[in-house]
Amino acid sequence: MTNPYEREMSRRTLLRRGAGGATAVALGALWPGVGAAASRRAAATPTLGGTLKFARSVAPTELDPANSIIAGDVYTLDKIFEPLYVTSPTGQLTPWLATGSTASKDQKTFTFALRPGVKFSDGSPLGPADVVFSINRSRKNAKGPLSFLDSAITALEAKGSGSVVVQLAEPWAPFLSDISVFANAILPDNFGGKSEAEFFAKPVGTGPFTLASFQSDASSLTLAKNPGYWQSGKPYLDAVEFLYVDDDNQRVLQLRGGQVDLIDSVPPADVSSLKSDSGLSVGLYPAWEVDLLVMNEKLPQYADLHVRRAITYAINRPALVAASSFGTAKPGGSFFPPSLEYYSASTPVLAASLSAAKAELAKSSFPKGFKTTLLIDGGVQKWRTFAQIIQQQLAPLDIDVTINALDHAAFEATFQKLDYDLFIDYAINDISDPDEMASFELDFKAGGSGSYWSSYDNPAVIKLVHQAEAEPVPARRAALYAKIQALVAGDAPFVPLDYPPYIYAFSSKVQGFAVNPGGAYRLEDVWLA
Amino acid sequence: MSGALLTAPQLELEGARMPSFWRRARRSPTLLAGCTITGLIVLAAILAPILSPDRPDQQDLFHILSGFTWQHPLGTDELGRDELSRLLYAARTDLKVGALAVVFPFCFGTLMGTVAGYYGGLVDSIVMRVVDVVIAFPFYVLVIGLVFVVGPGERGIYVAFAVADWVVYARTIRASTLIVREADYVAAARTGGIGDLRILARHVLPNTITQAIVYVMNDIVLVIVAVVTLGYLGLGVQPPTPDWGAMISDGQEFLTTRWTLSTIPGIAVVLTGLGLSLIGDGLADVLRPR
Amino acid sequence: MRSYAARRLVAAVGVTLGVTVATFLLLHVEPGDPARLVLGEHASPQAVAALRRSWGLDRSLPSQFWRFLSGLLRGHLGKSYVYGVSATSLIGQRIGVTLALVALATLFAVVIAVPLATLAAARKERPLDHLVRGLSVLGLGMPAFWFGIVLIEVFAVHLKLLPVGGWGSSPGQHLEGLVLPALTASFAIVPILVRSLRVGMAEVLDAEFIATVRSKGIGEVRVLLAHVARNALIPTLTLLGINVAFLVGSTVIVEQVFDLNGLGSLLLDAITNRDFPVVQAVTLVLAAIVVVLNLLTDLLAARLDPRIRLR
Repeated sequence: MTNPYEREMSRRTLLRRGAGGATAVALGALWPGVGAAASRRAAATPTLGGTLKFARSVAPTELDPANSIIAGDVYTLDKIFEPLYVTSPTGQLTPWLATGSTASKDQKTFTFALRPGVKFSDGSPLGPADVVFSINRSRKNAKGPLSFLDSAITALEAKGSGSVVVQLAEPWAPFLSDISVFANAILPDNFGGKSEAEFFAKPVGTGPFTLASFQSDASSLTLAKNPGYWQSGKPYLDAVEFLYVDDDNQRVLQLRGGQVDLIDSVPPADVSSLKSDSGLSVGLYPAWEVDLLVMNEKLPQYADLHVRRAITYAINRPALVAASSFGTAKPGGSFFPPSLEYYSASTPVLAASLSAAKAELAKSSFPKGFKTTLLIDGGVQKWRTFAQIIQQQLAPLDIDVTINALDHAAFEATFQKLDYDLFIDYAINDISDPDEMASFELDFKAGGSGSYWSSYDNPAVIKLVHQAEAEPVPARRAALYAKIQALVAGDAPFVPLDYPPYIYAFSSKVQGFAVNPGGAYRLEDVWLA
Repeated sequence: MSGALLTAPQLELEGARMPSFWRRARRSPTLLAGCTITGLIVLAAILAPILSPDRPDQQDLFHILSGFTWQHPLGTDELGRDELSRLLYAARTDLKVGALAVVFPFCFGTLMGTVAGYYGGLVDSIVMRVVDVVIAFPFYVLVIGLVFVVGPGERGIYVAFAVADWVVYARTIRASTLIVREADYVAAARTGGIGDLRILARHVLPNTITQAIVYVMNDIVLVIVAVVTLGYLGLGVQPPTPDWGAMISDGQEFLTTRWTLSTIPGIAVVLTGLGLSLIGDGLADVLRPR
Repeated sequence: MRSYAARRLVAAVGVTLGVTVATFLLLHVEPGDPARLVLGEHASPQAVAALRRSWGLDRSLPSQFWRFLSGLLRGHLGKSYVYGVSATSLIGQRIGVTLALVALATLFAVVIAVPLATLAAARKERPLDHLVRGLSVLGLGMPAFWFGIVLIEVFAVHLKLLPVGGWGSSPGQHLEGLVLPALTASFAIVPILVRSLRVGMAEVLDAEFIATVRSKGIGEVRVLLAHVARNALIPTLTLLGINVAFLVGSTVIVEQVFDLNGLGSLLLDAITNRDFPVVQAVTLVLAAIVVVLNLLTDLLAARLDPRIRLR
């Protein structure tokens, strides 16, 4: 059975509007490797060479940034193609192929300065034409899952030999975050003269690795070092071998047995025994991810605020987390995860209290409780555990929960049709800007999912979301998001159950591996001791 | 599948031998062993409410994965529920589902096999072609596909087995029916003008059905294993109803820390399978003409 | 003999076609939209509709089936929704694993079953017979995935004799990686083989001609091996044919547990992802394998025993 962490990439908004926005991005918190930043692991000098064997629960099916959405594709092609900005392991936007950007006073024109000396893996130099081609290709792709991210862009053009100018329809705060998404990675202009199919058979990018071999059934894919990579001296590895190992147990056993060096999606139950193995290490990386219990407000019992608050009070999240995550996850509170910018720790969360739950239910239109069903993806162990715990925790309120566990495809089809009472699923933010999560989960009409399929529609909250999108001053933005989180906690449209981390495990000889809160890992800093 | 087909003369003798069935049954160690083992398991399942220390769905989130204690003789699972209680109640679930799931295949398969074997001709061809198609279909693919369509849970299991499982009965019964049809007394009955239905009921079926009965025992084992496998794939009985398959699969992530969680339900399945198969083998021995 | 073979061949084709139709119907009744699954939840309705159109899913069922069938006749099995490559190439890459697994499992089954059955038949009704029958019956009630996990824990994790899973890159590693899965798969059919062989052998051992052969002075061991085996072979061969069907189907589970990239795990993934063309293609291939193997065993049995042909 598979672990949900790495399966799908996006929970995104369809439309983004905004006014005002960031100007130049702070170049603080530079990432090791770019400039002279101190590395925590600077003590040892990296050894060159070796092949990293990485067993993953996801499989790549194609490597086209403009068309890819699944984790297996994204976390593979991002080693070959790079965008203008990337997100560091601490969640900071960092200039990458661009050295910086400046915005016009009306915030509608951005000028990016390209990093000099960057070459594609075929030796051709990176130029503005490549940037214009790549981003235009992504935004104009009608079938592209993420092309809407670029919807505020009206035009791009090269300026001189080292700059690109981007026109926006209107001022747009999350713009630089969107530029950092993998869909906007840079390819050679016109595929370097090849046809699209030819190009993706042997992709050429600026990234630290190139495609060496690829089995079309995706069971294994090998990347080779790009010797001309713009960060000189890197990558340290000669090659990376991605293996597709779907079964959780198999992955852990293969790491233990020394067949592989690194694995993803480690089941929480295995963490302590892996940690106690002296030849292995476990990495727990904070994620922009929240597991949610969603309530269908199209139904009378869940349209009732007091019922929703009663349920929130009844669910003991610390107990849930203690029992199911083996010390790896944190109990849920605000609908923003703690690692996300503008998360407010002082959000007035409805903490577990059976008496408060009963009091709320008594105030509702359903004081005697009711029967209801909880829909989950039955193939995921974690949801089965959560569902059974929640079932027990709601029983004292006379809310009689029947669990409906469907297979993945049927599960998705069912809740998207709003054919559910309660359902559990996870929500993620792919970029550093919290507007994505806020709009997607709260903006009923324009967010793209009907408030995460809950049909929650609070005009006051929606107004605040739009204001926050447009607000240029960080302190004021923080205040707006704090208010939003407080209102959402009080309205309880969904119950944020926990904040799970990304869990990876690797042999002790693997050094320099880190995962950003969006789930992506760069491999040019990795070396084998 | 005992491999021995009854010849017509042997069948006539068989009728005269019926009283000694119980004597032979008592003397078959296989049958006795099978009945004992199965009997004990069924008894444990029936007495589950009395034998269980706790309710099977009683969670205790602060005492999960505990070892063997007086309070919890077989430990607790990942939600703090008592393993022994869940094991016993799972016996109820799986035995019940196993027994119920074979009813339709048994009846329908016997019916189809009888009709095909007795009437022959076009009917026979059609039925046997359908049987061939179902048999050629990889079993788990068919079952999984059907469960997906109908929805997981008990209903899906019954439907899936109704469609996939009747074929062996049909084949076996047809083979026996073909032989019995040639028997003198059957031919006599037909020429004597006795209705087909009476012939089938009084002369054909009693002689052919023994094969099916022998197979039922093995089929229940097959069904239980399949239900358990579906549980492993997350498609079986819905949580929190205890079921050996779900217990094995839920326990899988604790293989290195609490291996008993997966192993003990597995042993329960194996023992149940052993008991039922021994009954099947024993019956085959006892019912075979000597 | 020729007309028998011809009849069986026609039947085989018909059966395979029947499986294809059944799969098609089953797939299209299942809930879940493959286009949605590929594009992600937040794809626009237009993008989903466009993808469905490009896959022909917006046409009527009979029209879709006709499209599949006509492609089939030209040798195209369709293009995977998920991987974007032809189902044929996916199958081509993975069929070797499954065939190797089935072959090795059958070998193990025969190697384990024959001596056990012979032993039981030779000591019929005595304690050893009962013990053998009891032990072999164990395999019937043992869920393959559970047994597989136990074998991995014992032989791979603790004893470190064999790999935990996977296929490896050299033929030596392939073989190593197949031992535990093949053993696991074989255990399901060993009991049935033992039972049938034992009965067949026991009955032949009682028959008069064996007494005649013995009276001619050939050693007992040769009696057992040469004559008994040959006569017990036919029903066992037929049984083997039926059970290979079950074996092929069980690869779906075994490959999952042992991380083998064969047709079984491809099929399971394809069903989960509603990758219609791949499900259709793999089911067809698996059914064809089963049908062909059945056909071969039937023809072989017919060759050895003329009585069968007259049915």
